[in-house]
Amino acid sequence: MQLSASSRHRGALALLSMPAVLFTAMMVVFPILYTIWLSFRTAPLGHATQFVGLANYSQLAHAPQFWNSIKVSLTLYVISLALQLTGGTYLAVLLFQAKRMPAILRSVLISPFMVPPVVVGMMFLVILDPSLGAANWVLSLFGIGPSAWLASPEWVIPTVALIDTWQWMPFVALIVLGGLQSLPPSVYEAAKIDGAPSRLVFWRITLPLLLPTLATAAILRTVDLLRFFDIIYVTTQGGPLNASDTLNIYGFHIGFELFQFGYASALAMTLTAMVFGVVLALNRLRKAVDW
Amino acid sequence: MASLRMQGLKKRFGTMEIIPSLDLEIADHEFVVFVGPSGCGKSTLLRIIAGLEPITEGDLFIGDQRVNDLTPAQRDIAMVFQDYALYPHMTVYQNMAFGLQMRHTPQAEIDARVQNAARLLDIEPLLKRRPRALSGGQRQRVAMGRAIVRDPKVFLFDEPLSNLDAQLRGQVRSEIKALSQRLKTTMIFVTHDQVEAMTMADRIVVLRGGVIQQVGAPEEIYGRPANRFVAGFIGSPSMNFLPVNLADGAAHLPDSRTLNIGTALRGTAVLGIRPEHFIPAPEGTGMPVDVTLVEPLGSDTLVHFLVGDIKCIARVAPDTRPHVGERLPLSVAPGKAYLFDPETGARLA
Amino acid sequence: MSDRTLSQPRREQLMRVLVIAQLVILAIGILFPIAWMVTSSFKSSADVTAYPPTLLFRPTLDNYTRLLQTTPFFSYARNSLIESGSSTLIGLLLGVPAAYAASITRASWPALVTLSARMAPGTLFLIPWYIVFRDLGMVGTYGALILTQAAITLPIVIWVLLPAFDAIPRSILEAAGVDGCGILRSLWRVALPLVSSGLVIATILAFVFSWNYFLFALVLSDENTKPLVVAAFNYIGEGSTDWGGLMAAATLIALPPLVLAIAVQRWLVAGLTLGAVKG
Repeated sequence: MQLSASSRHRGALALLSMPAVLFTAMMVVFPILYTIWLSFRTAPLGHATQFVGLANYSQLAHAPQFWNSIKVSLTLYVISLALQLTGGTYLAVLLFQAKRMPAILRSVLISPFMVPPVVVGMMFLVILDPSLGAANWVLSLFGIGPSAWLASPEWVIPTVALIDTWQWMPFVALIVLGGLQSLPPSVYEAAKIDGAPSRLVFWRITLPLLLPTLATAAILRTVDLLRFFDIIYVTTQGGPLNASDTLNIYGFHIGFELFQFGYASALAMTLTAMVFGVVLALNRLRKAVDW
Repeated sequence: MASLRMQGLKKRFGTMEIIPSLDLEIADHEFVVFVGPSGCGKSTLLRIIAGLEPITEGDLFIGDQRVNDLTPAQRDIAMVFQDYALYPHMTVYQNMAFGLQMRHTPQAEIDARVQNAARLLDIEPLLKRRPRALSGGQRQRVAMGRAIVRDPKVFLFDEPLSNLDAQLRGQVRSEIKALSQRLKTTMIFVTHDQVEAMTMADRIVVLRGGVIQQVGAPEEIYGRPANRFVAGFIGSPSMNFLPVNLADGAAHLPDSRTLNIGTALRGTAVLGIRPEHFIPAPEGTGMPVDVTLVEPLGSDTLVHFLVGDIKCIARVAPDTRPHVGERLPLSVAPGKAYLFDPETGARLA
Repeated sequence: MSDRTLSQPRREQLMRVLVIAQLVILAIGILFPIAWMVTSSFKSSADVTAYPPTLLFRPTLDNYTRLLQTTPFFSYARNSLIESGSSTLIGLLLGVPAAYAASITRASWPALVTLSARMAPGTLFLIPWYIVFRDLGMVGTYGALILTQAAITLPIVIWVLLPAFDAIPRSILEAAGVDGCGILRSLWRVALPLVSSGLVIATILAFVFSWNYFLFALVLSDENTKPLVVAAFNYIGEGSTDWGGLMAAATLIALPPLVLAIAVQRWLVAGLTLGAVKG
């Protein structure tokens, strides 16, 4: 009796997840396998695919534009992550010290990362316009000369990093705030009794205890940052002079403008492997600092 | 050198008065236990002494120094927290060393003190571990070790045993007691557990609603409670209370029975009898009661009965095993009947 | 009153003022681009390109009326609504039972799928989808767009609900079983009410992320099925001189996600991170 009931139970559970399993197989697993398969073939538009071995990957390894994209992606990643983690922690500490968070402030903090990236791109195109934009006007108020922002090959990546930081730093701050609020207050009191001055408390107690939270935030941002696409596609399309040609922009260009699906697949696989590698490393770090 | 004095100490949170006005002196080397039900202000008082809560009004002296304005670090106290509050990212050694490092103690001395404390507490093999890898009892020892290495003027304990299981609690209790006799430092220990208070304290401070009910040695608190609250709080099971009418040296009970307690007082009062002070009387004497429940504990037996509609408990010898429904004659041990004022609760006799 | 009670609050008050001042400055900085977008959308074409920018101006609805009259804005909006709404519904219908079953059996595949769907770049999925949909003649159909967007919403639903279901004490579900609830009934009558706030968050996040998602629709939609975000991108090319119109479109597109997110702001961040903390 018992056995049949529990196997019926398990059958019902399997049935519950069946639609999602089928959907996932069709829309997630199949495309991944198909892309792996494609990455070893040429797939010119309108013709049958043909096995080419590792040719796509070796073409990738010899393409200066691919290495440029790696450099662009990593630069953007490092600058953005550094800005967002430090800025987010700073903002979180302020929020924590303020103790209460009025709903209006929370709304302000949530707004940037709920705005569609396309809209973010549109508004910064207007604000950062080299001749008529508000950004240069604000700079001029402080006596700073104008910048070409997105139109400058040197500044385009720092500018995109700033835009992304505007959008996601509040998100990081809210995560870190959650981490701060979950730290046991008695540990701070113990540090007070031990005689640690407040700056030391931050560096020796708060920050180490926040590391798992910061690692979590870093993982969430890594996943988005290494695949950076929307804002750049809307604003610069990888320009000027390929200076903002991230891996994902480059891949889109190869796949859906040149329709070299095999080559684009190899690129997509490489990018996926990169994201996986960095996330795995960060996850190990997070486990190592999970006191 | 490290005596403590509180003068007219007041504490308010907003409009809520936690401690109305409190005077207390604690002698050097004394082990004092603050005890009371939750919300009685005992923890707040401890945190005020630690400097974690500002004083609203009044003065606090440690030794001869007024410490109202001093930070916790400047007061030279150490505290063992209820949840131990160990630094989770530091090893046991680093946890114990941190307070000394903050005071710029030379590394060699830090090392010596930590090793010494670790030996004292028998945690030497744990020094390289992090708190997460320790059991509850081990964490408790590290928390004490962190306090010991500091060699403070005053030790503060905030219910440090409440997170331990019953067996370990008894063991650590005696260890803390032994430690206090060895270290000869002033110690203040907060608990809601009257057994901890009774077994460890040189003096007990019973608190209720931020007001001291009684200060005294354990046997004094137990033997001569100042009022009905103290009498009821100390002792387990609690003292039985019966409203009585006193006349002719006897107490007339609500169900119109009479208990001879030999008192000169007259009028209404509350009669208090500890369970252990009931004794089975020879047949035909004493007060016969109808047994409603029998709980054999092994070492002795608890007999429940009703007087009128008031539930009472007697603790009798283990070989006394009355049956439920049986009628058992009880009398009160001579001189062990307490009388309280029915209005104020103050003890009359 | 002792010195401490006088000086301590004063010091704390000063600290508080400093903290709040910094927060106000940061909040202004964060709000500025959005505020600039909204105000620009109400500026006349002369005001919007004035340099230095005009801070005081006569607000006008011209940009909005022109946007709504000269472009099929409403049909794009309808496309967005159909695609985001349907894909959210599919995400919920598939994701809720799957998350529940996975939570009970402690199965790890949904978490893995969610993770890989989040980590792989969009192009990885888009290439096979494009080839298959092209062969099936489905490029440019609502069907293709809804299915691909559901690949966004399903992981979000699982991501939010898996930890929520995990947080229900097993004994409650066992009690429901003892009381005679089958799997479906204990999901419907016991588990779902207990995760109702998670359900709201999952729905809103799924809708917002689907609404905001750009890449799939960029490739797979045509003029008749184009959602707002893709249409907006086309405005950039056409209306590079019409900043007012551009900002009016941007404001309208950003409005639904902002309103929805602010409505559930208290639980939003927890919903976005819980899955990460568990994984």
